[in-house]
Amino acid sequence: MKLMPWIQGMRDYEASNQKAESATSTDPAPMAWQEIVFRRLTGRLEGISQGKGTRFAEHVLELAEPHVYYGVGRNSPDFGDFVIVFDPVSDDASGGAVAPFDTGGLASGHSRVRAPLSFRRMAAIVRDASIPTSTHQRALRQWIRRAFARDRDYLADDKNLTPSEHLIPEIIVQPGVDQRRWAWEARLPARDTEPDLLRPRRLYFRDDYRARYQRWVDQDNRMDLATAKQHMRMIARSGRPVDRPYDVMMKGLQNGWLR
Amino acid sequence: MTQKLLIGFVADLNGNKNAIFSAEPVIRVDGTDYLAHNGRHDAASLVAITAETATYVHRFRESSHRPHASGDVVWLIGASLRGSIDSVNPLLPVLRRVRDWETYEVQGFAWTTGSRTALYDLRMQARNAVQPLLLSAVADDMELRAGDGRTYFELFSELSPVEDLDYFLTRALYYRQLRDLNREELTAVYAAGILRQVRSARHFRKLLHRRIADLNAERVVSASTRTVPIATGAMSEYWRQAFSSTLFISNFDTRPFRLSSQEHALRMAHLEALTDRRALDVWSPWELEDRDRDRDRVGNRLHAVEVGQHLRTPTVTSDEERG
Repeated sequence: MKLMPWIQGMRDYEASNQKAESATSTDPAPMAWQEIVFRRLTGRLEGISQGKGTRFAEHVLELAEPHVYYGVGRNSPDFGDFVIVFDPVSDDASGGAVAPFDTGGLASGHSRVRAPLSFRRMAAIVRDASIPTSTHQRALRQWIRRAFARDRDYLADDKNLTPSEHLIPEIIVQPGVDQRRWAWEARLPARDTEPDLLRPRRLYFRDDYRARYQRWVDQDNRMDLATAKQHMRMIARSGRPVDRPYDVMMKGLQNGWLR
Repeated sequence: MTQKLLIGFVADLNGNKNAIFSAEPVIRVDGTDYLAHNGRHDAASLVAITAETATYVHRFRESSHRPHASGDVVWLIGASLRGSIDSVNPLLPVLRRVRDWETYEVQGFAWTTGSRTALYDLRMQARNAVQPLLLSAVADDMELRAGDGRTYFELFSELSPVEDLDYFLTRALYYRQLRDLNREELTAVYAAGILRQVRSARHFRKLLHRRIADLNAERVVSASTRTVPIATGAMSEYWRQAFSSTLFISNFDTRPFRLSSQEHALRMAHLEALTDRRALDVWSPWELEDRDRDRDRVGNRLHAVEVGQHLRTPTVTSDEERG
């Protein structure tokens, strides 16, 4: 089985709240999507925008600092204006970890559980279930082989194809459930990373989002010329303007094109 | 037949204030909300909005809900871009259409619906309307640096629905005229990375030289006056492009150019100094007089340029070209 990449999608985190909050919110203004993409691609993770839901989940789960999150091998939900696919991180010095489910879904109550869980219990579950980045690919591979009839079922876009077992017994998985209940999730502390820790493999942009990102980078002055040229080459080489970023990304993964 | 009602869209608005773009519509069918990929109504294109994904949906006020036609996506324009379009007369036909769009309550965006293809056409029409203004502005230092050059540049870029060669050459030309060589280089590198017809950044620069020469020739022909083509970069390439565009440059005694590299370099440097870093320029008579004085002062015998009357191409054999 090939290495499962780390994947980040993008939606407007709190689209539904913006009308109500625009005048009164004391939260920091969310970053422009271009700034978020730039930071994700270049590992400038310190201070990167987070949604309210994420902040709440991290508080509940007693994470000591803000994190950024990645789907491992797949990502939800299945829409959005762009998706970034990274090589998986395996360096434990990054401070990252991998959980065999969507931690935010547990904290926010979206995961169906056998019995009500206290926040403290939720935090303990996440702490105990966390897997070091250095071993997570092997652990994932082993679990996929146990939990699915075929390895590729992990990547299927059929909500009725669910794993036969979950590493967290408290979480109930039924056919039709959102894949985040059982798909694995990686996290890295939201600190600036070593330059090569995050290696973008493929970027899928809806419509002309790639062009708009390129123009934004063009006007940004944080990189010297040589680094900016490298970045431009990377966008050109790895960036794909497509109709449906999520679908094209999943097809690429299912067909092994991304390796 | 069940009615499909447009109730909102999915897109990140932060960072799109200066953009015109499409977003996936969210429609209501029999009381359930779906994201409709590319606006299509077939089952494979509909994704049910769940409690978790509902927070990603921008919802219109109820009075704005309207029947949704299959294939229609939501068109959005940011307040900044709409303001810029408002300030440019040749974009009036575009503005008339944009003015009718409904206002969305967040960040001053306006919206309407239509197909992706129709939006592409509208944007291309607008780009074609603003491009001549930009090309005119880049030949005028005042317009470029203190006038509307920047506005035209941003409009041209944001309205463009596609990254084609013309798009990149026009943007690179703007940077060239501003002497923003880093951004010109980044444009070349990126264009070479995504366009099949551009083999390398160097090849892109050659294409840019050719574009400049062509534009000079067009201007010269239409202005029927004396001019000097300006292009920087590899000297031999400069001369080749100048001549290929039927621009004939002679020294005062009309000898064909047979210059050493050093002479060539001196002339190029002087030519650039004389022209005040401007390209695509049609000089006015008083400017020519100034430049004549400059020429006398530095003792360079670079002669004026006669265009359209001297179609023969002199032999250019600088050391560099002799290899």
